[in-house]
Amino acid sequence: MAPACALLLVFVVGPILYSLYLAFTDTRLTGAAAANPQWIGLDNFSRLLESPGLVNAVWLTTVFVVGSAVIGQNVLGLTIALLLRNRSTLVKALVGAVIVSAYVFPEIVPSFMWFSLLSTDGLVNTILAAANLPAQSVLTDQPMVAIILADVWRATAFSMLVYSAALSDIPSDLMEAANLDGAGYVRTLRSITLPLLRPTMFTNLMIITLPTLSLFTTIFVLTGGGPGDQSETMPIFMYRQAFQFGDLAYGTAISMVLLGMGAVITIIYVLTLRPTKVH
Amino acid sequence: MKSLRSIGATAVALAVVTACSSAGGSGDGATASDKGAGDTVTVTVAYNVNGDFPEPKAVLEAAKKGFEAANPTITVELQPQVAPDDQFHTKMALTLKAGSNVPDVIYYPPQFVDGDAKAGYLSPLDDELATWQEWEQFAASTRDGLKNADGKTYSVPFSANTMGIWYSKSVLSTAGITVPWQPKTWDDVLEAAQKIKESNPDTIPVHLYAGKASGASDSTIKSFRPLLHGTGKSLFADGKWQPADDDFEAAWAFMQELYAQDLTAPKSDVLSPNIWANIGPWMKNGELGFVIDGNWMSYNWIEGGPSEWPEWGDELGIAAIPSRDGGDPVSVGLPGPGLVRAAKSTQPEAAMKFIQFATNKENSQLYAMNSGQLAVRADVAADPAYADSPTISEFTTALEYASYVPMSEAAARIEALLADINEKVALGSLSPADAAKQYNDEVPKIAGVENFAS
Repeated sequence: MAPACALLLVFVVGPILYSLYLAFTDTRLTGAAAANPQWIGLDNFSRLLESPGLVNAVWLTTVFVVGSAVIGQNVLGLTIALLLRNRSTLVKALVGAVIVSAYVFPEIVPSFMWFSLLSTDGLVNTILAAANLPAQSVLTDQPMVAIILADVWRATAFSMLVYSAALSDIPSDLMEAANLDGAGYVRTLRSITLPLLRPTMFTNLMIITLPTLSLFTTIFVLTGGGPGDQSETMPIFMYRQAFQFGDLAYGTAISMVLLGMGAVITIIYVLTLRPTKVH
Repeated sequence: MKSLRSIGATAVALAVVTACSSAGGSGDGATASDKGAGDTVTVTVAYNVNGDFPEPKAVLEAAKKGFEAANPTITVELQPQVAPDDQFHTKMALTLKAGSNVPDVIYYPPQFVDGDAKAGYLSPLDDELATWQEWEQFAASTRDGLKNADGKTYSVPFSANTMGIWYSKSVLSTAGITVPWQPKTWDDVLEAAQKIKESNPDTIPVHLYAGKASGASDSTIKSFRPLLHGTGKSLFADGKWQPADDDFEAAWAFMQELYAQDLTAPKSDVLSPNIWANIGPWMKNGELGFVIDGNWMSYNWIEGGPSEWPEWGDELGIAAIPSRDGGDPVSVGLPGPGLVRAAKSTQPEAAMKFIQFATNKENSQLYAMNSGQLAVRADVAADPAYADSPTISEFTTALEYASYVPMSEAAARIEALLADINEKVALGSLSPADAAKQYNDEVPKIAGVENFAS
């Protein structure tokens, strides 16, 4: 235990505390403030609270997390898992392989793939042009749709795996009993499957929300937060302030807000989805 | 459980495939570990490769060869990074801040020098420059302009740059505009763009840089500042940053107008990080009417350039950037990129020797001619091979009336702010009045209230 705790302290708690310290200074990437950073108290936070960029980023992050994780990955993952239940091994293996393959690639690969699909002279527009349909520029016209789509496509596999495992753990005699009582598919789903999946749903949402909240690569590759700031979620907002504007301290202040958002979401899940006994 | 196991097995199999295919993709280590081994020393030189732009790759490779031949005890290790200027600078600043494995020499655009010098990342070159005979070849104004607020010089430049309007004679003629063309007012520019659109809807009438992805400076030096100077204003005057007023708003409004009337390139191109690389082919293929851009654009069409076009000197014209109401033409002047030395360089003497060699007459001329930039050395400017190249004389004239802002840390941050504002204004999501308000809110915080005229 001691070595593990030491490692955690050095590599997890350490950087968080250092970031927290930086957030109260005026440390910059370059310029005089890089050589002699000063303690400036809560200035970064008061500046952040007044910034329209924060409101925009918090809103877009919420849209992204709800659209991609809560609705997209969660519901789609559950749906696929339900559809695959009771199918032949071959179908399961094939569909599973296709979906999981999206998940095993490093994030950058599907990101570039989606970029080449959706960009102006990308595959989608080539096909549309061949069919004499007007070209679309999703990346600039509906940037949030583009990044949600790409992330759902990539990350749904995880939810599907989690739900598949949970479904196979539901005792089959329960289902048979329900069938004998004359319950149809919808009734079984509502009264048996979903209630039994509740703890799984809690775990799954917890696990997928946090990485979605801090997702960077896909958004950066597809839209870079643009056009303007129309897809500038918190991680992109933080990156741009810290590394494009060179304001490291301000960036760490934003990261503290992001940390807070993660905590709030976790508390909401714990309160609303707390595993309860099924009656 | 069966289904999960089969899916899991597939996942493992795929993961193995991915792992195998990515093996061997890493390994750009081996930096400077051999520094100081034996009798030879190694000078590391970091620079960025930006799309198909040929420099500084070509000149640094040539300089490495020549330098190693002349100095057998010094090895030059080039460390190229594929990145736009801003991202390259971020990476360098992080390396320099961390302080280990720093390159000895770095190629920097001028806007990054002041901030990094203030941060203590760079070492002044004054002692060596004082005894360097060739330093006299650099014009006195250039040498003065390089001095930082502390009076020291941190970089030796390759070139100088300025802006003008590049236009396609054939596109303009087709639209019924007489060439050579010289618009006198903004209305002339708007009218020409409209005529081009009417004559051929598939031609892009004008490209006005507005996206921030290709680099913070693009929409400022190629769009906003040329327009602002055309109103008679400047970002910086009498030693202070100027507040955004009606004239600033007029410049933004004109930008917004061109975009609103759909006289510009498609939005997805404008917002692309590689928009600048499209201009060369567009011009060559007659797909673009005109663009405000730098003297360097000729790199596209010269022999060996990415869009070789032997007739470019005859087919393209240069017009001066007009002012709003018909006054004298305007331009934006930029000190050229140059080489700086890291403060934590372990080989400062050898590093300086390399900087001097890389900016000698032969190499400076190679750089200027390869990249279409303007010479800063008197001996290069006097060389007919350089001076007689097309468009050199037009841009050299523009350099004389060009406006400058100080290349300070604040300027780089204001440029980044403007890049953000310009993009939103062009897309129509920020009104010129709100843009002015945002500018006036932010600039005093960046530059300090005492440096902001109000």
